[in-house]
Amino acid sequence: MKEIDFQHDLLPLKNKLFRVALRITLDRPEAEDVVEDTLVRTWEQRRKLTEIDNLEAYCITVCRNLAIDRAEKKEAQHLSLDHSLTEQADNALGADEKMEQDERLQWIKELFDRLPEKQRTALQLRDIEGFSYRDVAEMMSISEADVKVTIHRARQTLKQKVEAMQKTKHSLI
Amino acid sequence: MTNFMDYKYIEQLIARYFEAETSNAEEDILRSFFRQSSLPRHLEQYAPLFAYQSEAKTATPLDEEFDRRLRARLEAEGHMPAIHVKAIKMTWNERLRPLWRSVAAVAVVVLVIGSARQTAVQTTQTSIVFGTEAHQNKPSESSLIHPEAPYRQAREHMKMAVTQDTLTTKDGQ
Repeated sequence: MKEIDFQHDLLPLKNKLFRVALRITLDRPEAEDVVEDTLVRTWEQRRKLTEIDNLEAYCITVCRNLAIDRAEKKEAQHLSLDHSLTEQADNALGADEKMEQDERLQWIKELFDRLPEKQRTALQLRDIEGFSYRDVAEMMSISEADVKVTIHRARQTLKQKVEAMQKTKHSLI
Repeated sequence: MTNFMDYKYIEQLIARYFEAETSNAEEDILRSFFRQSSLPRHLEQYAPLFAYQSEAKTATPLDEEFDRRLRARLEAEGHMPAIHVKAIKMTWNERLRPLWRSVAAVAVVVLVIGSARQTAVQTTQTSIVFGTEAHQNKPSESSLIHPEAPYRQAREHMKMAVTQDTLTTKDGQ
């Protein structure tokens, strides 16, 4: 790759990186910091990165590692993030049979965010960002087979929750 | 009853999606399909899952304040990138390339609905000529929304389109 241009090569990646970071940290200010650190670090390393052929994949890998570090530090300081999310989602489940569209999307988001980090990152990169299995594997530094298994598990969990929700709705009617 | 047969292709895609066996293009078709306002009841439960995938990609972008902060930090650390307004050398085809896939997926769904409606009208007219009781009483909207034969016809088109697409994608990835 030719010399990295900040404005045209790095800055346009910010929103994608932010979505990945947010999916891992589950905290907006933390995710913003992670994106900032990712872009600064990559920019500082730019002279060593001229051999890289996929800058986007490189940035996503850096971003994920920084996000995991932060999430782990935060978890050590506070109670588990997953705990509060679990309660929220269970309250939403079955509470209202006429759940509005926004609420239903919010419910899916909460289910998504309750998956283990590896599963939600893989699903974020595939189902939301639309990357190929090969790209996801490169970004997460795991094999393609591992990516498929991880995504399979994540989708199965979501399927079970969605179908259970449907049953609850029917039993209420 | 007829709905369960009509939507067999989509049902198969959904099943393969949850088994992590769908291609990126097939997943685009699912997202487009679930954007319709009138869905068969037995598939409605999956709609928020796919709607969320589309929504999450555009949600919560980083603003210009983020850019300013980032630049200020780089400047403070003595790594200020040169700001130069340079036209990105990109052909129109390159710019639009990410859109083609979703355009194609939307087109498939539009095609299905379009040809379904058209044939539904024909079906209704024919049955009036034959004078069947049900259709005389109700050449109703439901036959326009959930026709059987036209969907099957269009589904064959979709299958062909997707099979080709899948093959291309596999080669490409």
